[in-house]
Amino acid sequence: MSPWISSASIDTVLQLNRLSTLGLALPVPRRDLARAKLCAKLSLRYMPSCRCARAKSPLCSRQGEHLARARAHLGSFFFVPLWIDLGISESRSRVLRFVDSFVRNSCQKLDRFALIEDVGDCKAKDDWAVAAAVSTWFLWVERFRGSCERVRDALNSALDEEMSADPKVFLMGEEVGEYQGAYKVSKGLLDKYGPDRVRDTPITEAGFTGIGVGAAYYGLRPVVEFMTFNFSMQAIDHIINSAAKSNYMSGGQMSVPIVFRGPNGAAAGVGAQHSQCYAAWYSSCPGLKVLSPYSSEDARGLLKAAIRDPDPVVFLENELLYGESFPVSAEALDSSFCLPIGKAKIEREGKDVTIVAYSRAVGHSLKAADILSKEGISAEVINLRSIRPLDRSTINASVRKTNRLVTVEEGFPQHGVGAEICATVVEESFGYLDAPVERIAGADVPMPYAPNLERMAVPQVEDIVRAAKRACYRSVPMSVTA
Amino acid sequence: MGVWFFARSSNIARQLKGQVGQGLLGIWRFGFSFGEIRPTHYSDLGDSGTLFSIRRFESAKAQKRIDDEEDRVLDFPGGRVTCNSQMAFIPESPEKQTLQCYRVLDDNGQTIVGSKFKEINEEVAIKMYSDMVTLQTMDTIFYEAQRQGRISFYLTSMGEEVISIASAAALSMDDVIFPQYREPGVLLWRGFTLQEFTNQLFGNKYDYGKGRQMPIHYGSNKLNYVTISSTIATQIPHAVGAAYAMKMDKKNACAVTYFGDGSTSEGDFHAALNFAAVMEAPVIFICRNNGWAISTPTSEQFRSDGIAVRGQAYGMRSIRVDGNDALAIYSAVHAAREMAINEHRPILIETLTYRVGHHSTSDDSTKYRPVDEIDHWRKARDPVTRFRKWVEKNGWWNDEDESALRNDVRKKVLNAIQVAEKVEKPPLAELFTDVYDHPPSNLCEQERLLRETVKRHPQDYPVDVPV
Repeated sequence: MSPWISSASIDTVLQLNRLSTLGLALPVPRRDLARAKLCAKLSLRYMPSCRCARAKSPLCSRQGEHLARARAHLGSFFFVPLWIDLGISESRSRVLRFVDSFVRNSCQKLDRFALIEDVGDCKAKDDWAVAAAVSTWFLWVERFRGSCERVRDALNSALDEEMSADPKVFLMGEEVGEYQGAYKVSKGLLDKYGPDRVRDTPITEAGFTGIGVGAAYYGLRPVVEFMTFNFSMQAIDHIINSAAKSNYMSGGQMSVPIVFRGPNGAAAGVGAQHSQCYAAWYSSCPGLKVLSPYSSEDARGLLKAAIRDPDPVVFLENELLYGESFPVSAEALDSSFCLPIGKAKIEREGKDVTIVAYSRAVGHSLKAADILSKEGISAEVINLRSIRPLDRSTINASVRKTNRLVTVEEGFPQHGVGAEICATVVEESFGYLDAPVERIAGADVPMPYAPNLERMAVPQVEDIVRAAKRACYRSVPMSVTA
Repeated sequence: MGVWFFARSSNIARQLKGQVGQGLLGIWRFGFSFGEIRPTHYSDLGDSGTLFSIRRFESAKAQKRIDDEEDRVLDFPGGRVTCNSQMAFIPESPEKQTLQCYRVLDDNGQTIVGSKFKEINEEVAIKMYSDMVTLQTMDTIFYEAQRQGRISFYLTSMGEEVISIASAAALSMDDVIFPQYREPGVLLWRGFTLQEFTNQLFGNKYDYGKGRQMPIHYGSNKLNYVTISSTIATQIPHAVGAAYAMKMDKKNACAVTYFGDGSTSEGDFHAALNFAAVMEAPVIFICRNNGWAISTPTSEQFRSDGIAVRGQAYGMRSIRVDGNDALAIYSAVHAAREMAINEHRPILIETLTYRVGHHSTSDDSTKYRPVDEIDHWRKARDPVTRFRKWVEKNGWWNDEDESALRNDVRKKVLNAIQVAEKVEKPPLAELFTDVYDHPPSNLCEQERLLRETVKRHPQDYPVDVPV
């Protein structure tokens, strides 16, 4: 959590019943600036009391401070202050409900939202002004609905939109229909598309995976859900020997447009057979594309790309990210939105050390970068997004700039994704390295169940911080190393 | 997967709270009717579809009614069943006799009196027979070509020619074939030319697989014949998936898959049959039970009464057919197709036959089975000869036609080999295409580097790879 969202501010918002005015600063991408300013103007015009409150409020200076810090943190965002008067009971409860879920679902997890409390004492001048303000607010809510979108909902909307756009797309797996998905990713889809296109299957991974591949041979675009990728081991023959190789072996006669998706990697407290990362496994096989989203925008854009792709795609989600919320731009909410496969994203620019990660490790790396920045180390964080094809050029360009590399993954170290990244950097940018590459991976043991041991087996933020400091030849205190 | 429930209860329940509660309720709702026992006589049950489960359990003959008290229906979530106070296990095999085999032609090519079969006209019969002869000739010559080292591998259909050809004749071109590797007869029937076969075997640039698959792994999009997979039994669930796709598209066609007795031991076979039944997919499973999975006899492969009996266990119709009787196969497949498409249901056909040839050119079957046995099947039980007798008896074929056909086919096969051998091998570019729909940057780079290297050091590279 970034420093400018204090827990105090969230507590204050949660106690909104006692407030009459709420002030929010919404981050707006530059391209939406004009519209955002207009909305802000409207809201201020229709809420003279708020303007008044703003001027009078004793907290104004603190608010300005918050905004300044937020701007410094998110250079490319412009902050529009938005004020809502909570004077009318009905709209008040709606706003409260929204703010409550907004705070619960997103702000605690977000570092891209500035939330600034203000206890104004103003009252609404007239109902009309309040109604206008609330509608302006909801316009924003609507516009930013996605910005507090959970990864689960992002996946759901991507599936929904692709199923609606192409009748050949169908979802198949254990518990995807009546139960709405083991992790509720397919929520509502059975009702919308019926049992032919949201297909509950018997509990046979080899069966429904093979059937999905057969359906893809015949022109459908199946999305096969594994309850976890650990269970895909029972069906790996169909993924590797059938899906990945058929197009090549048939001389291009048989394309296999199929997506294998489901949670991958470590969750929490589910032991060895539910906690393995298969990124390295599947990414070692030509013919497959392997994607691993981190944020909601990744999840939406990459899943849509995967479904539209003519090749078989292994789509590795993460159970612990399903419930996390991330801001999603208006562009990403558009049904035509799609991310390129094979292109990494620089989540945070830096100049001293490159941290390459995927899936949940990206979040850890961003947190590590925050900590490092306090110590004067500017870390560049690369979110791979695509494990195969691997965006070697982005990685190498970054290493050539920072001259230091830390790789982070939750999978096992040997022949892992980090190993491949090391290899490409050694092959292409060896002369640029100023320090040995630091490779952070899960412990080389099956995942233990006991929480204390489990924590030791999965990379943590402090591991990344420590490795980055080592790469920068900073001293690492013993207490941290221990 | 047994573990799925664990995952659900430990993680999801925590995350999803109320929704999970509802879901679980839905699942357990069945349980509430557990104790309900309604005394019902068999005669009261009528003939409605809901009785399916009762019939299923009734198959155990050991369940005898002792008195009225026991003649009750128990309503379990797993099925409505009658109960019996006598403990009785279902026997491991039928008590009296094994499942009967459908047969129309006797060993002399005469139709058995009273037999029911689908009529075949002269044109179809002659094409069927010509294709059988072509397949035999191909097998003989290509097998020799492998022995001479001209191709790396071959696998014959000897003894099983009529299964693929007669079944193909009963299907339509829209039906999609998911073959194993002993069904080139289907391709022949559908019009794959000798030159096309030979191009594949020699892996030249005209091979539709671009020289990427080992010999006999034919495939043709045009003829709805899915490229053969070396891994055993994977095609069976694929066929179910394609059948499901056809059902969704409301196509007037079905998927047909072929496999051997050995394949039925693979998990894929069981998964596919169960899925096909549950998904009500229009698919025909054709098992060639030829007695041998390479060197493993059926007695060491399974203990059931062959394959057909398993269909019932999965809730699908099945039939056992004499695999050396072209008319019986044609009729059974024809009827199966009608049922599969019109009633949206899978059908299992077990054809009993004998693999006269070795498993492949990598095998010498005389090491594990008597030569006499092979000779007996080759000479006395040959399915092609049997069909020829029937065609001749109809006055549609004679010795003259026979020798003309065999000479003609032989010349064509030899000619095809000569042509295929002279055709260039696939160009270097084909090493990299089709891994993906569009080549990714790493493959483009590899190709560029390889081309540069070949150009720089031409003397170190073979001349038969066009750059």
